[in-house]
Amino acid sequence: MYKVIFSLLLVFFIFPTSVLADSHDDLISGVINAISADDDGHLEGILLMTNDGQFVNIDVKSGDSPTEYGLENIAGDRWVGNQNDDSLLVVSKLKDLQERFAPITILHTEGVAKEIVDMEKRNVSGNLNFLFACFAVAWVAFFGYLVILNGRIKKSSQNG
Amino acid sequence: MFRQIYLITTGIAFLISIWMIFLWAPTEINQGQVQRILYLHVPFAWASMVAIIAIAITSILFLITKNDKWDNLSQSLAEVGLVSAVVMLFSGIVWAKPVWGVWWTGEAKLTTALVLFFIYCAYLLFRNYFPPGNARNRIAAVIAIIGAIDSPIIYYAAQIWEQNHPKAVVGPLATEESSLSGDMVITLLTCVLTATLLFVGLVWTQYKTSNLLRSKNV
Repeated sequence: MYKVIFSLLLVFFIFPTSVLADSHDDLISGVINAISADDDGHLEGILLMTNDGQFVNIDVKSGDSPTEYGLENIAGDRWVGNQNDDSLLVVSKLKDLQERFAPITILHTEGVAKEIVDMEKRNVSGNLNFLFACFAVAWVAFFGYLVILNGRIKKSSQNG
Repeated sequence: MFRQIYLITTGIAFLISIWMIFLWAPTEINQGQVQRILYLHVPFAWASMVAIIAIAITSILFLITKNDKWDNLSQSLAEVGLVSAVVMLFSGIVWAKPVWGVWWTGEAKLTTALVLFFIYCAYLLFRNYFPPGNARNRIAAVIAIIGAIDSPIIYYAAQIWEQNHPKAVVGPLATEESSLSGDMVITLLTCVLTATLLFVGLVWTQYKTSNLLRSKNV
């Protein structure tokens, strides 16, 4: 019985390792300093000035899993699309954001953007303590109830 | 044998859910890591809301048949429902602070969810402190049936009053704007399935134990 459980756990922990290699996403926020495009005007990448004054080059991706966008104009109209949809339109939208010094947030993997949205990151990295507190209390409540149940089962067997 | 298979299935589903929540699901771009609370909050909200409906059904069956097994099942459902409601409320409160900037607001969805918690408390306290007997069981059944009205109100609250609480992200009420997509929705549905397995397992264990204790008058 325990061998079966152990084998299942082993498979469970080995299998995800291939997927984990792909999970190094990072979030950065800032304003666009420069936009680079190829000869045809298609977007290649952007230079972002982050909130702490650093300059970061971010490339965009087309083809499979293209960079996704969620960008608003000054009137608040939101455009949602990806790099495969209309690369020229993306450039004009980003130039608009650059001219307005509108903050954007980028989810990227080693400098290649997965998602670009025009909203400032709200200290999301500092939220881990909330996440921890939430799950910790949930497990305490859940396993606490299991302990109570276990006590009742023992009580019923003792009285038997 | 069935019990062991159920236990193993639930354990595996539990581990897969944890892996999906923390390692597989993508990080939401606006809320960051704290959005992962959704995968805990929604399944337990689902469990607590389904529980009160199930209690109402078993209570009606008890009132019709006068069979104590339905009353016993109602109590077991109420206990697990209360635990689910506690997790739902706490996870919601902890999510609200970094996202809304406040721990709690008086809006409809939150208030009706709090009312559900009080209904569970009232139901269980009443059962605990009222002298055992037919009268207690019948009054408890009526409390549960009235309390079940809260469940659909919670479900529709975000749609009816349109306040800060996010609208339904899956299910019939989810709109194109509010619905989750891709890996997030797969993670959420897996977590809902796991919570349902846990819920049924706990209710069944409690029901059996309670039956045993009752038969021995403990």
